[in-house]
Amino acid sequence: MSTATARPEATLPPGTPVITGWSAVSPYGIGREEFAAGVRAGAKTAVKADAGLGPLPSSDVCTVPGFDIQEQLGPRGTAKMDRLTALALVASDGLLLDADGNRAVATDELTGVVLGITMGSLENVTDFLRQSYTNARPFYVDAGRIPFGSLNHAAGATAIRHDLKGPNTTVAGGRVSGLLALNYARRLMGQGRATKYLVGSAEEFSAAHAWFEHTATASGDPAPLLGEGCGLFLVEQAEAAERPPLAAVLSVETRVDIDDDPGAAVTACARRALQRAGVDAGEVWAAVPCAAPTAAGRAEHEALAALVPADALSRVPSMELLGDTSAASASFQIAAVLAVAEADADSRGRIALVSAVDRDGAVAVAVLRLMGEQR
Amino acid sequence: MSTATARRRVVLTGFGVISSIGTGVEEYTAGLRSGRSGARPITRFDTEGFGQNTACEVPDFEPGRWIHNVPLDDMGRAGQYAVAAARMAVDDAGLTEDDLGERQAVITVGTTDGESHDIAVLLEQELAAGDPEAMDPVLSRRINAGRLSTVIARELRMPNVEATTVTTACAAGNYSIGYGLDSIRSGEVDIALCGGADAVCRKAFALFKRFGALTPDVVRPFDKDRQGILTGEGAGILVLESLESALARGARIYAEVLGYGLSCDAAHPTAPNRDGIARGIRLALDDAGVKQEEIDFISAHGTGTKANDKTESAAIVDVYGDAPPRTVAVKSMLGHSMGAASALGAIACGLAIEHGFIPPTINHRETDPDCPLDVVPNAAVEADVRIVQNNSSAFAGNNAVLILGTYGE
Amino acid sequence: MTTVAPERLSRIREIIAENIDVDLDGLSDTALFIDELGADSLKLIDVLSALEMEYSIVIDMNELPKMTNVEATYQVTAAAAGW
Repeated sequence: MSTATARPEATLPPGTPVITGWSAVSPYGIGREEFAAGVRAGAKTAVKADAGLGPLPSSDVCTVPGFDIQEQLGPRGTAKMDRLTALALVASDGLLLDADGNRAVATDELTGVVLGITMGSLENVTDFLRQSYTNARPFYVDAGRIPFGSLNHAAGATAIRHDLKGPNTTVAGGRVSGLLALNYARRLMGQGRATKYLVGSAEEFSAAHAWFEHTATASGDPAPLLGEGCGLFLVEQAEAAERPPLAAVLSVETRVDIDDDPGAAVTACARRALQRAGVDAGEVWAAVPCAAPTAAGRAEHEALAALVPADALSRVPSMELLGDTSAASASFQIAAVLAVAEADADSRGRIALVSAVDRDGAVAVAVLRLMGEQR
Repeated sequence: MSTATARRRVVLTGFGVISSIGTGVEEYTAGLRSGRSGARPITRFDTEGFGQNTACEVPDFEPGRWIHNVPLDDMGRAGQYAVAAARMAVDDAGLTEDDLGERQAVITVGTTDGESHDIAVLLEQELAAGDPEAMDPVLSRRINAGRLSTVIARELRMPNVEATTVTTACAAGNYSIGYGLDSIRSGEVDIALCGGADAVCRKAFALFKRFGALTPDVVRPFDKDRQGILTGEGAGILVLESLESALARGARIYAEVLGYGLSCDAAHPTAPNRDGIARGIRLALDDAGVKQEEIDFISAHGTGTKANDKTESAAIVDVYGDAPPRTVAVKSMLGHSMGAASALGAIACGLAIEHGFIPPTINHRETDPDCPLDVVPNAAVEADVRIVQNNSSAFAGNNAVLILGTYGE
Repeated sequence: MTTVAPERLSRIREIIAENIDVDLDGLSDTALFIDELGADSLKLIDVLSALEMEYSIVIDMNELPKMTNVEATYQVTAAAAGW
């Protein structure tokens, strides 16, 4: 018998978004089960990069193992597909379809889609420009690859694949983008533009991305270990959810660090998120920072350590095990909480806090109440 | 579902404009009224080998005039346009840094290409040296699109904001304004800075050239002989405010944001879609609580490509029937400023409402029979403009339609 | 009309098949791309671009509507290339 309030969903404010499903394509593998098993085992995911990627600033990468676009999605329409779109499409299948590939989630024109990114497929853009610069004429570029380079392509492709004609948006914010996407969905559902939402974020690993990250790394910081993948959630409104809720999104707060003091920004943001959620910092059962391999990431960790109970920060293994997954970070963080919660009977009714910091100065925190049944 | 009268009202109290036909509200208004063309020879990148050399660049941009708090190197040109326009917009709204300060707000900038010019420069550095280690860290740190929004917060010293860059390509401006509307309607914030920004770059130029969508001469939306776009650039930022907040401080109100609609074609990654656009229009009208006959003119997406203009006209006729409202394409003047386009279009609509005119579709010789519209050819007209629709469509099937109306005078 | 050179035709057929996403074996010289093979004008742009790059030529976009099938595409390419 749980000591938490019976039917916690009954006490949620109207319009509270609830997560009722999730999927992940991650360095732990393709699918929710692989992700959950990997998180719970606290496994490392770094491998030696495939030689086919060409010269890289670091040979260690956290790529989705064995992810081949045409193997995953078949030969039609995939010859020129960017990896980011493919990751998102496979994740969307994992969210909406059952093990036999049949639709398990009903959708309609009030089903929205919002995906968080950093800068989309940098590989697509740099290959395009490379062709333009080096070929005999500057417009000798691969026309068939162009559509895949739009920053909103993955979200649009998800809509085409699953016939989703509702509001469809792509938001950019790097590591915080998954939380920006979650807040976007919350607002639009609050205004009646959608009754359910596919929410998530995605990043692809590529040599182009790796070299830009390497170049951007502050001197003194180690070469970043980079990851990739897509985390995707089904989000509904508490009072109208068609599936049992796994977690309620009590608040999403964001902030911009204007004074180059990420620790202070995270503290302020987390405090506000907790206040908006109506919970005390001492109630946090699981706290998951993004573990960015930067000064801001270290400050984020310190800020949370000063705020939440010590064991909250060790409830979920560090996100650094997945590498710096950039735009996928916050979605993986939420998924990791759900993965740990589903195996822990004590998690029901508990509070989870997820935070992220991004190079461009954004800071974001979400506070969730865990509600799911245990497996 | 529409409960327009019960909801919080949202108004526009400031505009910031960086465009190829004018910087700032006054110049931009004059440009729109006079049908000024922003087309000029490209200076931003080497056009050798492309066979054409025209775009709608912003002339004489002085970032230092507008940007004081953030080092200019922290942004690429698109970011500089966004910040400059944001600064202009809050000045235009009569808001000081003290007024803004710790106030909770939303800042959203839409973009198609972000700092793709910087990405190209980085690649040039790599190619020239034959070594990726030759790339400049300063550039590499500023290429992510999220920066376009966060840098506004840094410049205006507003930490307590949600800064979200919306990357829904050429519909992003309307998406951003719509998100600001939803945010204020929710009651969680009273103010939002919303719009779009993009900078001319080789990538966009080569892309549209490759698609055969670049016009060899001028942009002629809805014209029988139209041949495509000119790429453009700039930024439009709008100050959205709750009506109570605007009235409380005696702000000048340009117009009211009545509503918007989002639709996704879910059909083709690049081609425009008649049903998707029509659905977006209907959703916008419904959200605004506005009847079709109340629309005084439509600011079309109107890129000037064969495909868009025909498809968009068909969607307009599907919704409005045989006598649709006058439909103009400001891209005839601005070229296609990508993520800034629908924000600059929305500002044009707001100014049209404020001053009582309809901007023209310039370069017009003969209307395409497939586009049976009164495009207000070549010269602006004076008109009592009360309610206006601003269209936008993008690759990936993203459509966003915005409705602005006069605020009760 | 230019006489068709077999090796060039073979290569052009490959380029077309790849870009309009049909099997090379099933691609006849006369089957209409749009009406019979399910291609759209955007796929034809992909074909045009690939042909331009292959032969280092420029094909005017106004020629696109003439590229209705394999043999017509060969002729358009030949004209642009001066074969």
